[in-house]
Amino acid sequence: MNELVTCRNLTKRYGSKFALNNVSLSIESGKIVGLLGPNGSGKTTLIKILNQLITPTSGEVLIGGSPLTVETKAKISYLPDRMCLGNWMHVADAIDFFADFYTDFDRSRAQDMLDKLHIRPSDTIRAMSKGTKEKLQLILVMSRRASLYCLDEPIAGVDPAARDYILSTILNNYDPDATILISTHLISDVENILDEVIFIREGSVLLQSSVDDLRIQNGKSVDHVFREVFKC
Amino acid sequence: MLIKLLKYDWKYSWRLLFLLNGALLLFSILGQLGSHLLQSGNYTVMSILAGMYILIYTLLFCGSLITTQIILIARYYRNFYTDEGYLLHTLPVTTGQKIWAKFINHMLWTLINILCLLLSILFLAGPGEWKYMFQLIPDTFSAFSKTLGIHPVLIALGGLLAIVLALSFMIFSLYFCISIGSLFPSHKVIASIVTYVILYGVVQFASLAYSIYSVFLVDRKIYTVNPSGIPVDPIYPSPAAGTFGVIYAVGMFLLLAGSAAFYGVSYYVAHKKLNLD
Repeated sequence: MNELVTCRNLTKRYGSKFALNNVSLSIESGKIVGLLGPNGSGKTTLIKILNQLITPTSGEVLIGGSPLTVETKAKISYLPDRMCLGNWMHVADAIDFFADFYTDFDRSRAQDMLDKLHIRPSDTIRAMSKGTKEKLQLILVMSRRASLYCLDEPIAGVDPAARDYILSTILNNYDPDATILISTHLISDVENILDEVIFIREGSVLLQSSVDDLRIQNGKSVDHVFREVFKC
Repeated sequence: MLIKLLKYDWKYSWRLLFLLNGALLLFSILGQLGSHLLQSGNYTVMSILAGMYILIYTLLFCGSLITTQIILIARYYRNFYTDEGYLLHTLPVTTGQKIWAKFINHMLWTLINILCLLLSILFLAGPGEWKYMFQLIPDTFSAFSKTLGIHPVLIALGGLLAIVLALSFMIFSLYFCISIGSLFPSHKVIASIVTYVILYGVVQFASLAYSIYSVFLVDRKIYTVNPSGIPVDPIYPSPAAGTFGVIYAVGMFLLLAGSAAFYGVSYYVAHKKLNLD
């Protein structure tokens, strides 16, 4: 397996508070990795740094062996934890936008998924419900053939049926050679699809392990291990 | 990629700005047509209508000027430093391309807005006044030409360059203020406005000081040529033209240097200091 993501001594500080504290980790290609931790543990900060939305205070990040540049952006498909498409856009505009900027965007795949949800190209984003907006954004992100998918809290705040849709969309549309990094604190919902987990607390990585190893070593599900490790 | 960015910036702004500027032009044409009625109707009613028209026209005129700028600045702020930044900053485009796309769109719409403002005045004045108004332009250039001893075409080109550089200075200074505001942990918009107020004060003071210095220089040169102050035939080149040329060149250089500095800071903040909440 090739190393796709490498973080070395990554630190992000806001004043005296550490959002990330000397994080070093590596993630290989072709894995579904859960970035797990309670709220405020540094999951989103790490994902934002990978996507160049936050400048680290110190440390180094490599994607496919290269430092973060415009070229690495082209390899990453990012689902933020909020709506980032302009409200003025129609669905067709959003599709055109992704097709224009990402050469790996599969327009027909996006259209198929939108058709299944009865989302029309002429629909305006402004008029959509929160749930539909989230699904549209997920469809756009998963219609790319990227090397790395960074999904920040994709199932937070959605009903169980929507969770199933989101997880099946992720699983049915990613390239097996690609890596998916899912940040969440809803472990039980994603546990079955994960190959590997990274536990993060107060900006530090507590453990990184394959899901199978973790289960065998502890004789428990990842969800139970998580509850023990992050017990208040 | 710059063209693609421009395409979406244009797509976002054109409807609203087209409506805004179109409304101004339409209203000025209606005003011109309505002015004929004023001459034949009841005096009191027509006076009230004329007063109301002038009020609305003035509001539309100023409104289109201010709203055009607010829409374009808000677009920059939202795209760069709010949730929409999650889309823009993850695109495989350079920071320079992002800023230039915004700038070109901003410049184009500002020029279109100025053109629409001028056209609205023309429409409102009516065809009867056009001959006089169009004559005013060459007359002004001619007067400048005689005083300074510079060819009118050169004055026109210099004027155009000055307009473009002054607008560039204004646009990049706005981007600069937004970028500085984004560095604050909270109240970013207020921080941007405060930065703008301070910058505006500094620029106004510097402009005033430079204007006083320039007037003093030109005045002294003119009197050197013509102590009586009575205009003489153009001298090619006159000492006054030389002095004016230096003042103009320094002014343009300052505008260019200021624009470059504002661009540099905006680039640095977006590239090296980006911290989206």
